[in-house]
Amino acid sequence: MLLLSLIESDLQTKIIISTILFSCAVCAIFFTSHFSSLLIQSREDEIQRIRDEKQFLLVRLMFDDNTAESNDAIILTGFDEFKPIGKDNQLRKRKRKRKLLRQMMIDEMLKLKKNLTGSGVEDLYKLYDKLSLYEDSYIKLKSNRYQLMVMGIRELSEMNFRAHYRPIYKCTNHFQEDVRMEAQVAIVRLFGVKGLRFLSRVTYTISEWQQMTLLHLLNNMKNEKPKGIEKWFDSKNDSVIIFSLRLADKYNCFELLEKIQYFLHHPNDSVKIQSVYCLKNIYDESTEFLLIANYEIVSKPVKIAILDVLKLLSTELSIPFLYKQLADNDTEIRFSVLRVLNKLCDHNDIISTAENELEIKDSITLMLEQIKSEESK
Amino acid sequence: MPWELYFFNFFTYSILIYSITLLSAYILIGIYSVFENIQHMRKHAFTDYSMVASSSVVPAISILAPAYNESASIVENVRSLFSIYYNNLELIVINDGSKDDSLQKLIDAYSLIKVPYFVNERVVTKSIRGIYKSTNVAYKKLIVVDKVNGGKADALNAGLNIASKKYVTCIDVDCILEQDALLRMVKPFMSNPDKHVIATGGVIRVANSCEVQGGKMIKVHVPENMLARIQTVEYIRAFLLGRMAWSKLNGLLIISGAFGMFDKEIALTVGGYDTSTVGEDMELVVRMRLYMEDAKRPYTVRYISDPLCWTEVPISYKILWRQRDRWARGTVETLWTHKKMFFNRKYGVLGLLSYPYWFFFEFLAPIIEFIGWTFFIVSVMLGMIEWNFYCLLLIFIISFGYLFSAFSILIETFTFRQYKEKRDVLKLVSAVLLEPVIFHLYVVGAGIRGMLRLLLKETMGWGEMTHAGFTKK
Repeated sequence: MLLLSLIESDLQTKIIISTILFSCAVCAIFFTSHFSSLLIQSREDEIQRIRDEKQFLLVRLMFDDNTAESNDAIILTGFDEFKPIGKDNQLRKRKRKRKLLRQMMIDEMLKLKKNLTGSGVEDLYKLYDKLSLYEDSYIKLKSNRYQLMVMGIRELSEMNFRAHYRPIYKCTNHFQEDVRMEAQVAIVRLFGVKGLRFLSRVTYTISEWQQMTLLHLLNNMKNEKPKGIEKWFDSKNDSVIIFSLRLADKYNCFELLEKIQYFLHHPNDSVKIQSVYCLKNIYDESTEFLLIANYEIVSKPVKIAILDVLKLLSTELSIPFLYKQLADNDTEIRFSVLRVLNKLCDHNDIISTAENELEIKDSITLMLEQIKSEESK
Repeated sequence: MPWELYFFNFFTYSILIYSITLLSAYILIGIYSVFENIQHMRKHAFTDYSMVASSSVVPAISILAPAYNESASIVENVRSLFSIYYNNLELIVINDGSKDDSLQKLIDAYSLIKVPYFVNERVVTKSIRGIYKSTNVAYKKLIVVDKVNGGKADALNAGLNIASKKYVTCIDVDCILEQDALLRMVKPFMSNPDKHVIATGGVIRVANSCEVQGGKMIKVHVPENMLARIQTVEYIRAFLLGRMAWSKLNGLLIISGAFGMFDKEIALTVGGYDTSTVGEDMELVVRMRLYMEDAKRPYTVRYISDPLCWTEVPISYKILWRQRDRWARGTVETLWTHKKMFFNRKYGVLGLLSYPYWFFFEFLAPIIEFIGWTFFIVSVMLGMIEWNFYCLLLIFIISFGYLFSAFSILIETFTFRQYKEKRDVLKLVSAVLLEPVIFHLYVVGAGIRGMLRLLLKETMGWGEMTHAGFTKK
């Protein structure tokens, strides 16, 4: 009606009606803002109150001297609200409250885990199992909403609940990026290097961020060599090759040297660069010459990587090659070459060769001084 | 009908149509932004930044912090930047020929000594007088560059030449960063294997009256000062109801100079910051985008909608005037420099949407508003005014402004909820009500003045800012 009258009316009336509508909307939004703020605040206060109230129970469950018996006793007696949500005819409101309480319990456990080590963490896992909180996490994992799936996967893996690993493993190649990433992290968290077998099936690119997360996770785990790196080297997914090279580097897989050197001829520059950096750790007497042999045919970023590695691997035999590269017009390359030469030659020799034979006069001295000052620290 | 009336009606209806188009654009972008913000929040709620914060495998970042006459707070500001939770960074403070004792204060506080340093001058800058490093191992990440005064863009270019890391973060030295701000900013660079991320920008929030301890934001308050409070609403509105949509459309033209991260190689390849403009932050982003467009390389500029950086806003009209003068002038300079993009299909969203939006609704808006007011006054003087029409139009426009601002507060309440005190929403609402009266017209005036100064080719130096200081805890 209002819309009809608005269409039929003259301009002035249209503006009056629109102004009234806008003013009403403004008032509505003002009030909604204020009341929603108050509502959210009171809800947060309420949740905090319950959290404070229940936190002591969690602490009691965790740190009671007679852990096993007392846990059961508490769960059976004073801890009813945390019982799993049954399929009986409970009132919907009670069900919702219990669900909220159980979620709060999981959240608290996840938070607590960050500050615990050793047997404390083990107790937390047991409690998660005993309260059947994994059922809640599993429901989330099976949900269609990816945010819930991620939550479920994280909870199950953080609580080291391995029984449901299959659906998580299936998600390691999920089309939804967040689910996929969380599942990959979860599998590694649960099984360590053994969990890396998902690399054999992953078809999506593993982003740099994800690789960093996985490596960081592995850093905090038992130093066990992963099996199958060689197989992952044959992957059609370049990101899997790059990650495998990082793994080979991290776990000092000297037996893979030949394969790693082979990647110097890979068409993808990122793979090339990673293989060069891998050779910093895994090398033999021929590596230095292999890098030099490839130097001319690679792009600038790969050249910089090669020079960076040569800083560690080069011997006096590389000096003629390095002097030749010192004539490069690119200042960044020249600086990198000087960093290598600095390891092998006397400063005066470098300066005189640069000035007399290569006719490079500018900046060499300053560059060398900078390198010297950096290395003296 | 006499020609005056024709002209009068034509003018009136043109302004009406322009206003309706502008408001419609605001509404569309606002709604799109809200959806994208919610999506972003859901997606990133699961990222555990604390897990990788201490990691040695995080990518290396150079922070560039230019400073000019910041003697009063430079030592504290640098200390604040040191408190950032990130493992792999270098902090480059560029003293752009300050006339005060900023450099000496830094030398004394951080035990700096002049070191030999080769600067690969890929972008030409004013000469560098010296590079300083600390003898104290605790400050080994710090590099202080002392150079001849050349303006903020020139100082940032000097920083770009010296930066040794792959990514550079350009920040205002007086900003307070959230602890995980750098991780959040660097993540898009590492998470987009299909597109080259050339820059990321974060949300800037107003730090006036907030509690700060050891360079960290402890408690957020709505500013006590009304001018700062109005700017708080303005920032919420701009960042929450605007930039996210542009980012999603891959049409973001600006990353705030107060806090942005760039791919150093691309920034240097395009020639670094333009020293001839006062809107160097916007101009660099546009130039980097054009470079990628011309090279036909898939790329994107990402915006992170979480509040990451806190900065003090002007609380005096004089400083505000100068700031808005600069902003308006910077916008015009950038749009003029890159005018070839205007409705150019070759540049896709950039040419067909972003540029025209900035041209019609950012550059022209203050001009049209100014002309509108002038026309109104002339009409009153000539007795040609239709009071009813004008009053109602004014109420309509003001109501819309209120509606839009109130909506942004509502969205802030439901999403990031930085202002938790019960009275905060009321305080912000009071600022919304006063904005058209004590702020908007002033800002329009400053914008017009900026454009006039540009026409008159008046030069501008560093945007100086007086700090009222945070509430220290």
